[in-house]
Amino acid sequence: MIKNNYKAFIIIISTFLITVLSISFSQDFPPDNAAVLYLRAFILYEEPDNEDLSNMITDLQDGKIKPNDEIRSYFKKNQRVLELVTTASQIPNCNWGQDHSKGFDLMMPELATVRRLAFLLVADSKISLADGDYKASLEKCLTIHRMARHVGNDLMISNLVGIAMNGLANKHIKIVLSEMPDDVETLEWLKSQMLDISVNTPSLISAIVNESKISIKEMRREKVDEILQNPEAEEILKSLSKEQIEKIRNGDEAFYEKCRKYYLDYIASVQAAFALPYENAYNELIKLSEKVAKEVKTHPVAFFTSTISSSMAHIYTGEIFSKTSMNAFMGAIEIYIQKAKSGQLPDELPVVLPRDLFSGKDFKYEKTNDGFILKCQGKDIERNKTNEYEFKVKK
Amino acid sequence: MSEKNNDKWFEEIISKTINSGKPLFDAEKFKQKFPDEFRELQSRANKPAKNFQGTFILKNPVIKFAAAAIIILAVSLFMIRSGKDEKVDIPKVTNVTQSPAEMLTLRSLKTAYYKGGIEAVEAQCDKSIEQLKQKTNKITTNELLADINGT
Repeated sequence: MIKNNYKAFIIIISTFLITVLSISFSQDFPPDNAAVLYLRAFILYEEPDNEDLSNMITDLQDGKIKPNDEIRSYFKKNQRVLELVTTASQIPNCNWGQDHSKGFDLMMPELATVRRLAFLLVADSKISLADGDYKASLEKCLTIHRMARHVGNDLMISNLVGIAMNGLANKHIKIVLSEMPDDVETLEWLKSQMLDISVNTPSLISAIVNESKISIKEMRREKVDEILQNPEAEEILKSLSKEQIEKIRNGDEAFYEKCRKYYLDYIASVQAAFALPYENAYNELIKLSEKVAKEVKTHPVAFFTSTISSSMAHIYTGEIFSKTSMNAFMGAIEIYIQKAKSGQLPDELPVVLPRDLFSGKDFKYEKTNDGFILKCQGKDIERNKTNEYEFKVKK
Repeated sequence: MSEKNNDKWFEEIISKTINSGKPLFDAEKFKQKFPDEFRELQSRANKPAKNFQGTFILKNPVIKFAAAAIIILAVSLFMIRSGKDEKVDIPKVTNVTQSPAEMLTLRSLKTAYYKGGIEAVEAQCDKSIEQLKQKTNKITTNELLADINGT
Protein backbone atom coordinates (compact mmCIF):
# COMPACT_ATOMS: atom_id res chain seq x y z
CA MET A 1 0.00 0.00 0.00
CA ILE A 2 2.74 2.40 1.06
CA LYS A 3 4.74 1.35 -1.99
CA ASN A 4 1.81 2.17 -4.27
CA ASN A 5 1.29 5.57 -2.64
CA TYR A 6 4.98 6.28 -3.03
CA LYS A 7 4.80 5.38 -6.75
CA ALA A 8 1.77 7.64 -7.23
CA PHE A 9 3.60 10.47 -5.44
CA ILE A 10 6.64 10.08 -7.68
CA ILE A 11 4.45 10.06 -10.82
CA ILE A 12 2.58 13.22 -9.70
CA ILE A 13 5.80 15.05 -8.82
CA SER A 14 7.47 13.99 -12.11
CA THR A 15 4.47 15.12 -14.14
CA PHE A 16 4.48 18.48 -12.34
CA LEU A 17 8.20 18.98 -12.88
CA ILE A 18 7.98 18.05 -16.57
CA THR A 19 5.10 20.52 -17.03
CA VAL A 20 6.92 23.34 -15.24
CA LEU A 21 10.18 22.66 -17.05
CA SER A 22 8.51 22.53 -20.45
CA ILE A 23 6.78 25.88 -19.74
CA SER A 24 10.02 27.46 -18.59
CA PHE A 25 11.90 25.99 -21.57
CA SER A 26 9.26 27.25 -23.97
CA GLN A 27 10.01 30.78 -22.71
CA ASP A 28 13.72 30.20 -23.05
CA PHE A 29 15.98 31.58 -25.74
CA PRO A 30 16.19 30.77 -28.60
CA PRO A 31 12.50 30.24 -29.35
CA ASP A 32 11.40 27.19 -31.32
CA ASN A 33 10.43 29.29 -34.31
CA ALA A 34 13.27 30.78 -36.37
CA ALA A 35 10.91 33.27 -38.06
CA VAL A 36 10.62 35.23 -34.80
CA LEU A 37 14.36 35.84 -34.73
CA TYR A 38 14.62 36.67 -38.43
CA LEU A 39 11.92 39.30 -38.04
CA ARG A 40 13.57 40.72 -34.92
CA ALA A 41 16.83 40.88 -36.82
CA PHE A 42 15.17 42.71 -39.66
CA ILE A 43 13.56 45.23 -37.31
CA LEU A 44 16.98 45.99 -35.81
CA TYR A 45 18.86 45.93 -39.10
CA GLU A 46 20.33 49.31 -39.89
CA GLU A 47 20.51 50.12 -43.57
CA PRO A 48 23.55 52.03 -44.91
CA ASP A 49 22.81 55.73 -44.32
CA ASN A 50 24.36 56.98 -47.53
CA GLU A 51 24.61 55.95 -51.18
CA ASP A 52 28.43 55.72 -51.12
CA LEU A 53 28.43 53.22 -48.28
CA SER A 54 25.69 51.23 -49.97
CA ASN A 55 27.75 51.07 -53.18
CA MET A 56 30.89 50.11 -51.26
CA ILE A 57 29.05 47.19 -49.64
CA THR A 58 27.83 46.03 -53.06
CA ASP A 59 31.40 46.24 -54.39
CA LEU A 60 32.63 44.26 -51.38
CA GLN A 61 30.02 41.55 -52.06
CA ASP A 62 31.18 41.40 -55.68
CA GLY A 63 34.83 41.13 -54.61
CA LYS A 64 35.75 44.43 -56.26
CA ILE A 65 37.10 46.06 -53.10
CA LYS A 66 38.51 45.03 -49.73
CA PRO A 67 36.73 46.06 -46.51
CA ASN A 68 37.68 49.57 -45.32
CA ASP A 69 37.10 51.31 -41.97
CA GLU A 70 33.72 52.70 -42.96
CA ILE A 71 32.45 49.26 -43.99
CA ARG A 72 33.84 47.64 -40.84
CA SER A 73 32.19 50.28 -38.66
CA TYR A 74 28.86 49.66 -40.42
CA PHE A 75 29.09 45.91 -39.83
CA LYS A 76 30.05 46.46 -36.20
CA LYS A 77 26.78 48.37 -35.77
CA ASN A 78 24.88 45.42 -37.27
CA GLN A 79 26.75 42.75 -35.30
CA ARG A 80 23.79 41.89 -33.05
CA VAL A 81 21.59 41.57 -36.13
CA LEU A 82 24.02 39.08 -37.67
CA GLU A 83 24.16 37.11 -34.42
CA LEU A 84 20.36 36.88 -34.37
CA VAL A 85 20.31 35.67 -37.97
CA THR A 86 22.94 33.02 -37.26
CA THR A 87 21.00 31.78 -34.22
CA ALA A 88 17.76 31.75 -36.22
CA SER A 89 19.32 29.72 -39.01
CA GLN A 90 20.22 26.96 -36.55
CA ILE A 91 16.66 26.50 -35.28
CA PRO A 92 15.04 23.52 -37.04
CA ASN A 93 11.50 24.92 -37.10
CA CYS A 94 10.48 28.03 -39.03
CA ASN A 95 6.86 29.08 -39.30
CA TRP A 96 6.23 32.36 -41.14
CA GLY A 97 2.57 32.43 -40.22
CA GLN A 98 1.37 32.49 -43.81
CA ASP A 99 -2.37 32.60 -44.22
CA HIS A 100 -3.07 30.04 -46.96
CA SER A 101 -6.78 30.82 -46.79
CA LYS A 102 -5.99 34.10 -48.62
CA GLY A 103 -5.27 32.10 -51.76
CA PHE A 104 -3.03 33.90 -54.26
CA ASP A 105 -3.36 37.05 -52.13
CA LEU A 106 -1.28 35.56 -49.33
CA MET A 107 1.69 37.76 -48.57
CA MET A 108 5.28 36.55 -48.47
CA PRO A 109 7.34 39.43 -47.03
CA GLU A 110 9.81 36.92 -45.61
CA LEU A 111 11.26 36.38 -49.10
CA ALA A 112 12.38 40.00 -49.31
CA THR A 113 13.51 40.09 -45.67
CA VAL A 114 15.60 36.94 -45.79
CA ARG A 115 17.20 37.89 -49.09
CA ARG A 116 18.26 41.24 -47.61
CA LEU A 117 19.81 39.53 -44.62
CA ALA A 118 21.54 36.99 -46.90
CA PHE A 119 23.30 39.77 -48.80
CA LEU A 120 24.40 41.27 -45.50
CA LEU A 121 25.92 37.90 -44.65
CA VAL A 122 27.74 37.71 -48.01
CA ALA A 123 29.44 41.03 -47.29
CA ASP A 124 30.26 39.94 -43.74
CA SER A 125 31.70 36.71 -45.13
CA LYS A 126 33.97 38.81 -47.35
CA ILE A 127 35.26 40.70 -44.30
CA SER A 128 36.14 37.42 -42.55
CA LEU A 129 37.83 36.21 -45.74
CA ALA A 130 39.88 39.41 -45.99
CA ASP A 131 40.92 38.88 -42.35
CA GLY A 132 42.03 35.32 -43.12
CA ASP A 133 39.33 33.78 -40.92
CA TYR A 134 38.23 31.16 -43.46
CA LYS A 135 36.08 29.13 -41.11
CA ALA A 136 34.09 32.21 -40.07
CA SER A 137 33.71 33.17 -43.72
CA LEU A 138 32.42 29.66 -44.57
CA GLU A 139 30.10 29.69 -41.54
CA LYS A 140 28.40 32.83 -42.88
CA CYS A 141 27.85 31.11 -46.25
CA LEU A 142 26.45 28.06 -44.46
CA THR A 143 24.07 30.38 -42.59
CA ILE A 144 22.71 31.49 -46.00
CA HIS A 145 22.18 27.81 -46.92
CA ARG A 146 20.26 27.24 -43.68
CA MET A 147 18.17 30.35 -44.26
CA ALA A 148 17.33 29.03 -47.73
CA ARG A 149 15.98 25.90 -46.06
CA HIS A 150 13.75 28.06 -43.86
CA VAL A 151 12.44 30.16 -46.71
CA GLY A 152 11.97 27.44 -49.30
CA ASN A 153 9.96 24.86 -47.43
CA ASP A 154 6.44 25.94 -48.27
CA LEU A 155 5.37 27.08 -51.74
CA MET A 156 6.86 26.84 -55.21
CA ILE A 157 7.90 30.50 -55.45
CA SER A 158 9.56 30.43 -52.03
CA ASN A 159 11.27 27.16 -52.96
CA LEU A 160 12.73 28.83 -56.06
CA VAL A 161 13.95 31.79 -53.98
CA GLY A 162 15.56 29.24 -51.63
CA ILE A 163 17.28 27.56 -54.58
CA ALA A 164 18.64 30.95 -55.68
CA MET A 165 19.98 31.55 -52.14
CA ASN A 166 21.73 28.16 -52.24
CA GLY A 167 23.39 29.31 -55.45
CA LEU A 168 24.49 32.56 -53.79
CA ALA A 169 26.00 30.67 -50.84
CA ASN A 170 27.82 28.17 -53.07
CA LYS A 171 29.27 30.96 -55.20
CA HIS A 172 30.98 32.42 -52.14
CA ILE A 173 31.99 29.07 -50.63
CA LYS A 174 33.81 28.42 -53.91
CA ILE A 175 35.73 31.69 -53.54
CA VAL A 176 36.71 30.88 -49.95
CA LEU A 177 37.89 27.38 -50.95
CA SER A 178 40.03 28.85 -53.73
CA GLU A 179 41.84 31.13 -51.26
CA MET A 180 42.01 28.85 -48.22
CA PRO A 181 45.30 27.09 -47.41
CA ASP A 182 45.18 23.32 -46.78
CA ASP A 183 43.21 22.76 -43.56
CA VAL A 184 41.81 19.24 -43.12
CA GLU A 185 39.92 20.05 -39.92
CA THR A 186 37.99 23.00 -41.41
CA LEU A 187 37.27 21.06 -44.59
CA GLU A 188 35.97 18.03 -42.66
CA TRP A 189 33.76 20.40 -40.66
CA LEU A 190 32.51 22.02 -43.87
CA LYS A 191 31.78 18.59 -45.35
CA SER A 192 29.63 17.55 -42.38
CA GLN A 193 27.76 20.88 -42.44
CA MET A 194 27.11 20.67 -46.19
CA LEU A 195 25.92 17.08 -45.82
CA ASP A 196 23.41 18.18 -43.19
CA ILE A 197 22.22 21.02 -45.43
CA SER A 198 21.89 18.86 -48.56
CA VAL A 199 19.92 16.20 -46.65
CA ASN A 200 17.50 18.82 -45.32
CA THR A 201 16.99 20.71 -48.58
CA PRO A 202 13.26 21.43 -49.05
CA SER A 203 11.58 19.37 -51.73
CA LEU A 204 10.26 21.18 -54.79
CA ILE A 205 7.53 18.63 -55.39
CA SER A 206 6.21 19.14 -51.81
CA ALA A 207 6.13 22.88 -52.52
CA ILE A 208 4.24 22.27 -55.78
CA VAL A 209 1.71 20.07 -53.96
CA ASN A 210 1.30 22.73 -51.23
CA GLU A 211 0.76 25.41 -53.86
CA SER A 212 -1.75 23.22 -55.70
CA LYS A 213 -3.90 23.20 -52.55
CA ILE A 214 -4.05 27.00 -52.80
CA SER A 215 -4.60 26.94 -56.55
CA ILE A 216 -7.66 24.68 -56.42
CA LYS A 217 -9.29 27.06 -53.93
CA GLU A 218 -8.88 29.84 -56.52
CA MET A 219 -10.77 27.89 -59.18
CA ARG A 220 -14.16 29.40 -58.59
CA ARG A 221 -16.40 31.95 -60.21
CA GLU A 222 -15.66 34.79 -57.77
CA LYS A 223 -11.92 34.58 -58.48
CA VAL A 224 -11.88 33.77 -62.17
CA ASP A 225 -11.67 37.35 -63.49
CA GLU A 226 -8.46 37.92 -61.50
CA ILE A 227 -6.95 34.76 -62.99
CA LEU A 228 -8.00 35.74 -66.51
CA GLN A 229 -6.02 38.98 -66.14
CA ASN A 230 -2.76 37.21 -65.30
CA PRO A 231 -0.16 37.42 -68.08
CA GLU A 232 0.18 33.63 -68.04
CA ALA A 233 -3.54 33.41 -68.91
CA GLU A 234 -3.36 36.09 -71.60
CA GLU A 235 -1.57 33.92 -74.18
CA ILE A 236 -3.89 30.98 -73.63
CA LEU A 237 -6.99 33.14 -73.99
CA LYS A 238 -5.88 34.14 -77.48
CA SER A 239 -6.32 30.55 -78.62
CA LEU A 240 -9.83 30.21 -77.17
CA SER A 241 -13.17 31.12 -78.70
CA LYS A 242 -15.56 33.60 -77.14
CA GLU A 243 -17.84 30.76 -76.04
CA GLN A 244 -14.99 28.92 -74.34
CA ILE A 245 -13.91 32.04 -72.44
CA GLU A 246 -17.50 32.68 -71.40
CA LYS A 247 -17.72 29.10 -70.20
CA ILE A 248 -14.62 29.66 -68.02
CA ARG A 249 -15.94 32.97 -66.68
CA ASN A 250 -19.47 31.93 -66.01
CA GLY A 251 -19.14 28.22 -65.39
CA ASP A 252 -21.30 26.57 -62.76
CA GLU A 253 -19.93 24.72 -59.75
CA ALA A 254 -19.92 21.44 -61.70
CA PHE A 255 -17.62 23.05 -64.31
CA TYR A 256 -15.18 24.36 -61.68
CA GLU A 257 -15.21 20.98 -59.95
CA LYS A 258 -14.11 19.40 -63.24
CA CYS A 259 -11.37 22.06 -63.53
CA ARG A 260 -10.11 21.16 -60.04
CA LYS A 261 -10.14 17.45 -60.82
CA TYR A 262 -8.26 18.01 -64.09
CA TYR A 263 -5.68 20.11 -62.21
CA LEU A 264 -5.18 17.55 -59.43
CA ASP A 265 -4.79 14.75 -61.99
CA TYR A 266 -2.14 16.86 -63.70
CA ILE A 267 -0.29 17.46 -60.40
CA ALA A 268 -0.39 13.70 -59.70
CA SER A 269 1.18 13.09 -63.15
CA VAL A 270 3.85 15.73 -62.38
CA GLN A 271 4.61 13.98 -59.08
CA ALA A 272 5.04 10.69 -60.92
CA ALA A 273 7.30 12.36 -63.50
CA PHE A 274 9.53 13.87 -60.79
CA ALA A 275 10.36 10.34 -59.61
CA LEU A 276 11.91 9.46 -63.00
CA PRO A 277 15.53 10.04 -64.05
CA TYR A 278 16.11 13.59 -65.35
CA GLU A 279 15.83 13.07 -69.10
CA ASN A 280 12.72 10.88 -68.82
CA ALA A 281 11.16 13.25 -66.31
CA TYR A 282 11.85 16.27 -68.50
CA ASN A 283 10.35 14.61 -71.59
CA GLU A 284 7.33 13.46 -69.60
CA LEU A 285 6.74 17.01 -68.29
CA ILE A 286 6.97 18.39 -71.83
CA LYS A 287 4.49 15.74 -73.03
CA LEU A 288 2.11 16.62 -70.21
CA SER A 289 2.41 20.30 -71.03
CA GLU A 290 1.70 19.66 -74.74
CA LYS A 291 -1.29 17.50 -73.84
CA VAL A 292 -2.75 20.28 -71.66
CA ALA A 293 -2.02 22.93 -74.34
CA LYS A 294 -3.87 20.79 -76.92
CA GLU A 295 -6.79 19.92 -74.68
CA VAL A 296 -7.44 23.48 -73.52
CA LYS A 297 -8.45 24.40 -77.10
CA THR A 298 -11.40 22.03 -76.97
CA HIS A 299 -11.95 21.51 -73.24
CA PRO A 300 -12.07 24.71 -71.14
CA VAL A 301 -11.70 22.58 -67.97
CA ALA A 302 -7.98 22.44 -68.82
CA PHE A 303 -7.65 26.24 -68.71
CA PHE A 304 -6.40 26.70 -65.12
CA THR A 305 -3.92 23.85 -65.50
CA SER A 306 -2.61 25.29 -68.75
CA THR A 307 -1.54 28.49 -66.94
CA ILE A 308 1.11 26.56 -64.99
CA SER A 309 1.95 23.52 -67.11
CA SER A 310 4.15 25.30 -69.65
CA SER A 311 6.82 26.24 -67.08
CA MET A 312 6.96 22.94 -65.16
CA ALA A 313 9.84 21.36 -67.12
CA HIS A 314 11.83 24.59 -66.65
CA ILE A 315 11.16 24.64 -62.90
CA TYR A 316 12.07 20.96 -62.59
CA THR A 317 15.36 21.52 -64.41
CA GLY A 318 16.10 24.34 -61.94
CA GLU A 319 15.80 21.93 -59.06
CA ILE A 320 17.98 19.28 -60.73
CA PHE A 321 20.54 21.99 -61.48
CA SER A 322 20.55 23.11 -57.84
CA LYS A 323 20.83 19.57 -56.44
CA THR A 324 23.56 18.67 -58.92
CA SER A 325 25.47 21.82 -57.89
CA MET A 326 25.23 20.74 -54.25
CA ASN A 327 26.51 17.28 -55.21
CA ALA A 328 29.37 18.84 -57.16
CA PHE A 329 30.27 20.92 -54.10
CA MET A 330 30.21 17.83 -51.88
CA GLY A 331 32.51 16.09 -54.35
CA ALA A 332 34.79 19.13 -54.58
CA ILE A 333 35.14 19.34 -50.78
CA GLU A 334 36.22 15.67 -50.76
CA ILE A 335 38.85 16.48 -53.38
CA TYR A 336 40.04 19.51 -51.36
CA ILE A 337 40.33 17.21 -48.31
CA GLN A 338 42.47 14.73 -50.27
CA LYS A 339 44.60 17.59 -51.51
CA ALA A 340 44.98 18.95 -47.96
CA LYS A 341 46.03 15.50 -46.72
CA SER A 342 48.47 14.59 -49.49
CA GLY A 343 49.59 18.02 -50.65
CA GLN A 344 48.35 17.40 -54.21
CA LEU A 345 45.17 16.92 -56.13
CA PRO A 346 44.16 13.26 -56.66
CA ASP A 347 44.60 11.81 -60.15
CA GLU A 348 41.16 10.23 -60.05
CA LEU A 349 37.81 11.02 -58.52
CA PRO A 350 37.41 9.58 -54.99
CA VAL A 351 35.30 6.39 -55.11
CA VAL A 352 31.98 7.21 -53.41
CA LEU A 353 30.74 10.70 -54.22
CA PRO A 354 27.33 12.21 -54.89
CA ARG A 355 26.40 12.00 -58.55
CA ASP A 356 25.48 14.23 -61.47
CA LEU A 357 21.68 14.10 -61.42
CA PHE A 358 21.39 15.03 -65.10
CA SER A 359 22.85 11.64 -66.04
CA GLY A 360 22.64 9.63 -62.81
CA LYS A 361 26.36 8.95 -63.29
CA ASP A 362 29.55 10.14 -61.58
CA PHE A 363 30.93 13.55 -62.48
CA LYS A 364 33.87 13.56 -64.87
CA TYR A 365 36.96 14.83 -63.09
CA GLU A 366 39.67 16.84 -64.80
CA LYS A 367 42.67 18.58 -63.34
CA THR A 368 43.45 22.06 -64.67
CA ASN A 369 46.41 24.42 -64.27
CA ASP A 370 44.89 26.13 -61.26
CA GLY A 371 42.52 23.52 -59.84
CA PHE A 372 39.99 21.04 -61.19
CA ILE A 373 36.66 20.71 -62.98
CA LEU A 374 33.73 18.42 -62.27
CA LYS A 375 31.74 17.87 -65.45
CA CYS A 376 28.23 16.52 -65.76
CA GLN A 377 27.76 13.55 -68.09
CA GLY A 378 24.14 14.30 -68.85
CA LYS A 379 22.86 17.26 -70.84
CA ASP A 380 20.84 20.05 -69.23
CA ILE A 381 18.05 19.95 -71.82
CA GLU A 382 16.59 23.30 -70.76
CA ARG A 383 19.86 25.19 -71.22
CA ASN A 384 20.99 22.89 -74.06
CA LYS A 385 24.44 22.36 -72.56
CA THR A 386 26.42 20.11 -70.27
CA ASN A 387 27.13 21.86 -66.98
CA GLU A 388 30.61 22.11 -65.50
CA TYR A 389 31.79 23.19 -62.06
CA GLU A 390 35.24 24.71 -61.90
CA PHE A 391 37.17 24.91 -58.61
CA LYS A 392 40.49 26.60 -57.97
CA VAL A 393 43.10 25.73 -55.36
CA LYS A 394 45.50 28.01 -53.52
CA LYS A 395 48.99 27.63 -54.94
CA MET B 1 -9.10 40.64 -121.79
CA SER B 2 -10.23 36.99 -121.76
CA GLU B 3 -13.35 35.88 -119.92
CA LYS B 4 -11.26 33.88 -117.49
CA ASN B 5 -8.93 36.77 -116.81
CA ASN B 6 -11.88 39.06 -116.51
CA ASP B 7 -13.36 36.91 -113.73
CA LYS B 8 -9.98 36.68 -111.99
CA TRP B 9 -9.48 40.41 -112.20
CA PHE B 10 -12.98 40.95 -110.85
CA GLU B 11 -12.39 38.51 -107.98
CA GLU B 12 -9.20 40.39 -107.11
CA ILE B 13 -11.09 43.64 -106.79
CA ILE B 14 -13.63 41.99 -104.50
CA SER B 15 -10.89 40.24 -102.60
CA LYS B 16 -8.97 43.50 -102.05
CA THR B 17 -12.12 45.19 -100.93
CA ILE B 18 -12.96 42.41 -98.47
CA ASN B 19 -9.44 42.19 -97.12
CA SER B 20 -9.34 45.90 -96.46
CA GLY B 21 -12.02 45.35 -93.89
CA LYS B 22 -14.16 48.22 -95.32
CA PRO B 23 -16.83 48.21 -98.06
CA LEU B 24 -14.95 50.30 -100.64
CA PHE B 25 -16.52 49.21 -103.92
CA ASP B 26 -18.19 52.07 -105.82
CA ALA B 27 -19.61 51.36 -109.31
CA GLU B 28 -19.36 55.01 -110.47
CA LYS B 29 -15.75 55.32 -109.39
CA PHE B 30 -15.03 51.98 -111.02
CA LYS B 31 -16.50 53.29 -114.29
CA GLN B 32 -14.34 56.43 -114.12
CA LYS B 33 -11.19 54.60 -113.19
CA PHE B 34 -11.49 51.67 -115.61
CA PRO B 35 -13.48 53.01 -118.63
CA ASP B 36 -12.14 50.35 -121.08
CA GLU B 37 -12.96 47.47 -118.78
CA PHE B 38 -16.39 48.94 -118.10
CA ARG B 39 -17.12 49.24 -121.83
CA GLU B 40 -15.96 45.68 -122.43
CA LEU B 41 -18.19 44.40 -119.67
CA GLN B 42 -21.09 46.39 -121.14
CA SER B 43 -20.48 45.08 -124.66
CA ARG B 44 -20.33 41.53 -123.34
CA ALA B 45 -23.65 42.06 -121.66
CA ASN B 46 -25.22 42.57 -125.12
CA LYS B 47 -23.92 39.21 -126.47
CA PRO B 48 -26.37 36.26 -126.37
CA ALA B 49 -25.91 33.66 -123.65
CA LYS B 50 -24.13 30.50 -124.79
CA ASN B 51 -24.91 28.24 -121.84
CA PHE B 52 -27.65 27.91 -119.29
CA GLN B 53 -29.38 30.78 -117.50
CA GLY B 54 -26.96 30.82 -114.53
CA THR B 55 -24.02 31.58 -116.78
CA PHE B 56 -25.97 34.41 -118.36
CA ILE B 57 -26.75 35.88 -114.98
CA LEU B 58 -23.09 35.78 -113.94
CA LYS B 59 -22.04 37.48 -117.16
CA ASN B 60 -24.56 40.25 -116.89
CA PRO B 61 -22.48 43.23 -115.61
CA VAL B 62 -25.34 44.89 -113.83
CA ILE B 63 -26.24 41.70 -111.97
CA LYS B 64 -22.53 41.05 -111.42
CA PHE B 65 -22.04 44.48 -109.85
CA ALA B 66 -25.16 44.06 -107.80
CA ALA B 67 -24.03 40.60 -106.67
CA ALA B 68 -20.58 41.93 -105.84
CA ALA B 69 -22.05 44.81 -103.88
CA ILE B 70 -24.29 42.41 -101.93
CA ILE B 71 -21.36 40.07 -101.22
CA ILE B 72 -19.17 42.97 -100.09
CA LEU B 73 -21.91 44.38 -97.92
CA ALA B 74 -22.68 40.98 -96.39
CA VAL B 75 -19.01 40.21 -95.72
CA SER B 76 -18.44 43.68 -94.28
CA LEU B 77 -21.43 43.39 -92.00
CA PHE B 78 -20.28 39.92 -90.92
CA MET B 79 -16.78 41.18 -90.20
CA ILE B 80 -18.02 44.18 -88.24
CA ARG B 81 -20.33 41.92 -86.24
CA SER B 82 -17.80 39.15 -85.65
CA GLY B 83 -15.18 41.76 -84.74
CA LYS B 84 -17.45 42.93 -81.97
CA ASP B 85 -17.98 39.37 -80.78
CA GLU B 86 -14.25 38.65 -80.53
CA LYS B 87 -13.87 41.24 -77.82
CA VAL B 88 -14.19 39.45 -74.51
CA ASP B 89 -15.40 41.64 -71.74
CA ILE B 90 -12.80 40.99 -69.05
CA PRO B 91 -12.72 43.77 -66.49
CA LYS B 92 -9.32 45.42 -66.47
CA VAL B 93 -7.52 46.52 -63.33
CA THR B 94 -5.99 49.97 -63.62
CA ASN B 95 -2.22 49.64 -63.71
CA VAL B 96 -1.15 51.61 -60.65
CA THR B 97 2.11 51.39 -58.73
CA GLN B 98 2.00 48.43 -56.39
CA SER B 99 2.61 48.81 -52.68
CA PRO B 100 5.35 46.61 -51.11
CA ALA B 101 2.61 44.43 -49.60
CA GLU B 102 1.02 43.93 -53.03
CA MET B 103 4.39 43.22 -54.61
CA LEU B 104 4.94 40.40 -52.15
CA THR B 105 1.70 38.52 -52.65
CA LEU B 106 1.86 35.05 -54.12
CA ARG B 107 -0.09 36.28 -57.17
CA SER B 108 2.30 39.14 -57.85
CA LEU B 109 5.41 36.99 -57.36
CA LYS B 110 4.02 34.26 -59.63
CA THR B 111 3.38 36.87 -62.30
CA ALA B 112 6.94 38.16 -61.90
CA TYR B 113 8.24 34.61 -62.29
CA TYR B 114 6.17 34.09 -65.42
CA LYS B 115 7.50 37.32 -66.94
CA GLY B 116 11.17 37.06 -66.03
CA GLY B 117 12.00 33.91 -64.09
CA ILE B 118 13.60 33.84 -60.66
CA GLU B 119 15.59 37.00 -61.40
CA ALA B 120 12.33 38.94 -61.75
CA VAL B 121 11.08 37.50 -58.43
CA GLU B 122 14.31 38.55 -56.74
CA ALA B 123 14.14 42.01 -58.28
CA GLN B 124 10.57 42.41 -57.05
CA CYS B 125 11.59 41.40 -53.51
CA ASP B 126 14.43 43.93 -53.54
CA LYS B 127 12.20 46.67 -54.96
CA SER B 128 9.66 46.15 -52.19
CA ILE B 129 12.36 46.53 -49.56
CA GLU B 130 13.62 49.70 -51.22
CA GLN B 131 10.11 51.15 -51.11
CA LEU B 132 9.69 50.19 -47.48
CA LYS B 133 13.04 51.76 -46.66
CA GLN B 134 11.88 55.06 -48.10
CA LYS B 135 8.70 55.00 -46.06
CA THR B 136 10.24 54.02 -42.73
CA ASN B 137 10.95 56.99 -40.53
CA LYS B 138 12.78 56.63 -37.29
CA ILE B 139 10.84 57.82 -34.25
CA THR B 140 12.64 60.48 -32.26
CA THR B 141 12.59 60.48 -28.46
CA ASN B 142 10.55 63.69 -28.49
CA GLU B 143 7.95 62.10 -30.74
CA LEU B 144 7.81 59.08 -28.46
CA LEU B 145 7.34 61.28 -25.39
CA ALA B 146 4.66 63.22 -27.22
CA ASP B 147 2.84 59.96 -27.94
CA ILE B 148 3.13 58.84 -24.32
CA ASN B 149 1.83 62.18 -23.06
CA GLY B 150 -0.92 62.16 -25.64
CA THR B 151 0.12 65.58 -26.94
